[in-house]
Amino acid sequence: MLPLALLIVAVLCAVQAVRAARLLVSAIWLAGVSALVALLLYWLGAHEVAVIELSVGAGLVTVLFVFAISMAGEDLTPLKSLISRPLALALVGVSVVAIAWLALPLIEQPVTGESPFGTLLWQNRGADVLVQIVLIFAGVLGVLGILADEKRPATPGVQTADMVEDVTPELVTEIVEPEKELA
Amino acid sequence: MTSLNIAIAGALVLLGVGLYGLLIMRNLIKIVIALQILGKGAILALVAAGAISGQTNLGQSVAVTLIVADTVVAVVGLALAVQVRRRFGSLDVNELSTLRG
Amino acid sequence: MFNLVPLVIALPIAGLLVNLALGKRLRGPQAGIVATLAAGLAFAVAVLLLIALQAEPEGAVVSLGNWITIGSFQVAWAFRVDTLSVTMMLVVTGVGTLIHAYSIGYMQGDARFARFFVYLNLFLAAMLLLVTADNFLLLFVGWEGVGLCSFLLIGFWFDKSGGEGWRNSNAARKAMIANRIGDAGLLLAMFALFWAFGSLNFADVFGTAEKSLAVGAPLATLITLLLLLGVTGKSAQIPLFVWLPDAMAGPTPASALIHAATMVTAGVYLIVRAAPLFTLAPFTQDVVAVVGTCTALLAASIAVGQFDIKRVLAYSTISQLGFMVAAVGLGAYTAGMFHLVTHAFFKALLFMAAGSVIHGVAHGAHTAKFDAQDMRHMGGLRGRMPVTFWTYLAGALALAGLPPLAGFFSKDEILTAAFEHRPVIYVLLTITAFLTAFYIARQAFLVFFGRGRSDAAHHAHDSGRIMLVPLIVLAALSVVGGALNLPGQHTLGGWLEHTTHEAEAGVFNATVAGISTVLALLGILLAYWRYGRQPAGERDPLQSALFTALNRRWWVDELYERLFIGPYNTLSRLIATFDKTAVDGAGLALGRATERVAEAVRRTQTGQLNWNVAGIVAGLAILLLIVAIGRGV
Repeated sequence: MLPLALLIVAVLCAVQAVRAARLLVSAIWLAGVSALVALLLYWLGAHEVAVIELSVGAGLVTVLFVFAISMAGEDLTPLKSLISRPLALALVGVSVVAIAWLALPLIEQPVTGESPFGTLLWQNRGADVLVQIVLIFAGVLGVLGILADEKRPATPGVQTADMVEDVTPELVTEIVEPEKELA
Repeated sequence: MTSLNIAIAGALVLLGVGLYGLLIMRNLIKIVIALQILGKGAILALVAAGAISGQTNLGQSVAVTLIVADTVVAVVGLALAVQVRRRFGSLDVNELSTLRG
Repeated sequence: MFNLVPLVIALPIAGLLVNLALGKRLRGPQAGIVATLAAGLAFAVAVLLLIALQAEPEGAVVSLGNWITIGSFQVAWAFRVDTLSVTMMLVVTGVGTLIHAYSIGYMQGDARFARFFVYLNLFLAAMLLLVTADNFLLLFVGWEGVGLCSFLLIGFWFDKSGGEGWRNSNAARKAMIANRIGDAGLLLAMFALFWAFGSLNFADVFGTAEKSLAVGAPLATLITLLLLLGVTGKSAQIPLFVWLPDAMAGPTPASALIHAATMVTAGVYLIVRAAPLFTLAPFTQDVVAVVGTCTALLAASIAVGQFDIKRVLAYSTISQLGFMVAAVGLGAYTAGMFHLVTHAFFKALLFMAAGSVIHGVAHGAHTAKFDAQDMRHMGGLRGRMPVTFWTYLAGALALAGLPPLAGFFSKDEILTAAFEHRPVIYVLLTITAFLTAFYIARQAFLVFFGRGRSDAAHHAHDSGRIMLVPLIVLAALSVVGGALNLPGQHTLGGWLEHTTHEAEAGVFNATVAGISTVLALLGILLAYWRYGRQPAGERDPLQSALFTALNRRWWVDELYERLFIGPYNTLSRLIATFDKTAVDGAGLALGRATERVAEAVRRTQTGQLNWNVAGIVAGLAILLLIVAIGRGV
């Protein structure tokens, strides 16, 4: 019953992650969920996936969260939800039950032979891998987005978006009233 | 109930918790956290489903793809959150709305 | 030589293109000179064709290639050169050239001088297309083209102040609508021809009809009756004649060219051209003769009661067209064409003389609100405008039918034909001839004799040389025009025979000629007794009930107003109400409903992320439930 226990703890962690008031605490609970899911994956025999999940999900993402929260700062004002909790629970409940209902018969699907993991990942799913590379590139751009504002004051003289905005009104003046000399 | 079925059930519960978080949360970073919980549920479901249907490796390879995608979602979401905080001074998504009905 | 025929049409088109392109830059009378030159050259080409026809009187068809080819149905750009079309060409270009020249003087100083000549040239081109076409469709193009020019020229002064501009454009619209009704008849006739014979080519249609249809065949009657509807529209016959008097709103040269000499005779030309079909339909022939006779009599009686100098001539034109139509209805095609030619001479002359009078009187007028066309304001112009007077007199006597002027011979031939075939028609036409002499003499006495009845009449003066020369030429033609088809010689008859194959040559009947001459003289005497003595025009003739009826034009316009225009307007208003309430209402209701729904739906668009997510989750739940239920649960 180890997996069941792991699962229950993971779900509890997830609930805590949702409930926690402080963002940092929330992020740590999320790391917990990730670690427990990784353990579950390992137990299910998916060793490679487990390792990747542990390192990326529990490690890298948590670091990112901490980084972002420290930059954005805690927003402690309690925000009251717009949607009433019973309504949210009802919607979620209906969806999950319906998925479960639909998924259960699929579990008895016949088993077919298949290729080794490596072959699948690198050959049959080559397109996916390419997409992943693109995704990672997008992620890099995202990180640059976080850091973009930070760099600006450090490099004066380089035209940034805001500086262009400052110039624009004069340009507009020049276009609209060509006779008028720029101050 | 086999352990695989337990995994599927757990994945569903995680999915539910994630959806609930998405509905309730107003803080942008917490929305990203809810998305991450959803993602964990999906990864778990993929691997379990692969094991059940005998296509273990297929499920796992898709799961790896999902991990990467999920991570990028987190990165971009967080970057967005940081920028939003700078521009608007708040992380409340409902204050970002410029589309007034 | 016959290959020159496209030039006849191309020259006026070239003239109008030059004026269209350079009209704004041409100074003074230059635009008019260009247009007159184009018309004159077209006349020269027509003369060349005439010479060519002398050697080869059967003529030829000149085809420039196919216009429309649909299966076996073919319409070609084909022009027919035969004695009939060349006769029409000569009249159209000859009289046309003179009127162009006259217009240079008449339209001098008009703000749209060049445009007027563009219209005139366009008219010439369309009219020549009409008379040279070798198939009904090409003829129809010309037919519509002249209708368009008529519309444009009647409404030429659409911007005159004081409600006159409105009257002018209304007159143009009236002409357009009346002509459209007739054109519908012509179109239907063409459909029937195509349906019956599979072709619109003259030779094919007539050849097939003569072979396959017996005399009196219903098909021939139907087609010819439809053609007659077209004729009544274009040639201003009962019941569609009401547009022509109003058409006098246009400039006088346009009235002379289009509404007296050429366009309105297109109907007569059409009947003569389609003579093989009409010969197959005796019933239609009778209808044509009756329509022409009634129109002639009715219009002549109305002309007696008019005071507007141009209106008298307009009704006179309708009446004379009635004569021609009656003639072709009687099968006397040569007589009809003969009268068409002489009428073109003297009626164009009368119109242009009237234009000269109006011109002179209007120049003498010193008050703005002076009606320069009212004959009651004239009188005694004989001395002030001698050239106009003498030329007018030639035209008037020709119209009255006094020997040996042109009108005498042509009218006499029609009367003789009626005398031989239909005595009733003969009697009616003879009465008309008497009325004709009376009303034209009345006009002559009112305008030129006696004393001037207004200040303007005292100060009137003759027009310039450019206007008088065409008058003199036409006066000469009106005097000697009868020589075209003198009794016993029948030059025109023999000439047209090559096309119409009319076996019966008109004979000279001394009785008929004598009676009509005596009646014409009586009419002139009566007019002198009534209007020529002093003090003329001072008694109020409106006191007599008969004269009121004539002056009010037998209330035909009022009758049409009641019968057609009133109900039509009522119907229009009804439909407009329906359109405004039901049709527009439906549109507005749709718009309002959309607005309401949008208003209601707008509340769901809060722009708040949580609600969006809730919508997505709810949608997901609903989809999943649908799939689950679809599984049979």
